Amino acid sequence: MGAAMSVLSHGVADAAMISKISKITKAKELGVPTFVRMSDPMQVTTLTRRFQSKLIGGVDFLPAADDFPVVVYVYSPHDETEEIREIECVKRTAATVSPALAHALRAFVRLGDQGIDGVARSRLLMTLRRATTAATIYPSITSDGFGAAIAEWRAGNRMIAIEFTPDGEYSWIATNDEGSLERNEVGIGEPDPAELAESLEQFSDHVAVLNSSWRQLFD
Amino acid sequence: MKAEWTYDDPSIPDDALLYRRVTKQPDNLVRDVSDGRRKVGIALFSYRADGLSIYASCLMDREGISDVELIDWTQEKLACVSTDVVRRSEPGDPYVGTRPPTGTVPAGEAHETGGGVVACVSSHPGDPRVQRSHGLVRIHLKPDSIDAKRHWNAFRVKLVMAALLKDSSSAGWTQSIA
Repeated sequence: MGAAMSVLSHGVADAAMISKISKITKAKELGVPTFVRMSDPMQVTTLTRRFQSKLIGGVDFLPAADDFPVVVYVYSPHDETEEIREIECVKRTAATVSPALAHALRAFVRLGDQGIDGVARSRLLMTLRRATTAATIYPSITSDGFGAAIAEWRAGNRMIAIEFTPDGEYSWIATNDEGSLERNEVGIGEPDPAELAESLEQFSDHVAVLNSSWRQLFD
Repeated sequence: MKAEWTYDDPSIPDDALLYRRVTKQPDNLVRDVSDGRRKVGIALFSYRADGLSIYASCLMDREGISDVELIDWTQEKLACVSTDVVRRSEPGDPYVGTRPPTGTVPAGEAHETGGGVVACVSSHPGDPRVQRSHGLVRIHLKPDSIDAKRHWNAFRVKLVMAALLKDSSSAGWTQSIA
């Protein structure tokens, strides 16, 4: 049995899910997980920073909509030799996650181990959690092959791109319908969630008129 | 003594095409929700320690190879931009002094970010002719310079908007693919 590892959870992790994750970690020889309940997303962020030197992957365990995969990032803050493991499991509960965020989670699972920096990925997921709603268009999720985590939206020449790089910086780039740059923000941390939410709302309203069947474009 | 940062070789003509590999994983393409087709995204144009890796058609002509021989088409696709787009530096809307900065050019500038191309033999394993066709796209700021990222962001949007894609050796070049 491997060293005890911690699974950080945001929101409610019910007994059935705890049992399921425990069985998975045992089957994968990751040891018996310790569950830490947190109700405040900022607690997740705080813990991430505290263990940053040892953090390899993300810290999100999210309550799921029916039938969409929940990605659990498991890491060991106490043993630097332990590798990060991602565990995917399906849970049927009421949805508290936006479809755009759920889509992003699934996309990261499909991308698998492409060298995406775990902290960059976590920051992107947290940003999407704060800035997306039920109406937000799904982003395309990718990496540059050098650790960056990127969410990008495109409708004709109109674009929004959010990029988190391993150096701790983010970029928020946006263009208008002429393809001209309208926003070019670079900073440490993350974009202002209210401003990004407004930008995504405008984009989503625009797309809803342009192509009301856009959901069919995504898996 | 600090090494000079050379970011353009004028002997590379404006009409030279610059090719970028589009890997299968991660796929740097973006789904355009207006028509469902996939286009080049910013992920394809990342500014690395020595620049943005490309293959230049003028160098390939010298080596006697075409774009068909650049990659394994079962594993990758190709994107391209022309050198004149890289070098283009047209006037733009200046940044307004608010937070966050807005405008179509980098803060403190009046023009788009113009860049350049230099030849640089690749160490990527494979055909020596392909290695010798390799080059680097750069801007006037080195990647680790302060404010390089903001300038590069403006620059790579220019590339994204102009890039073309080819998804098989026999296909033509298009703005988007299925």
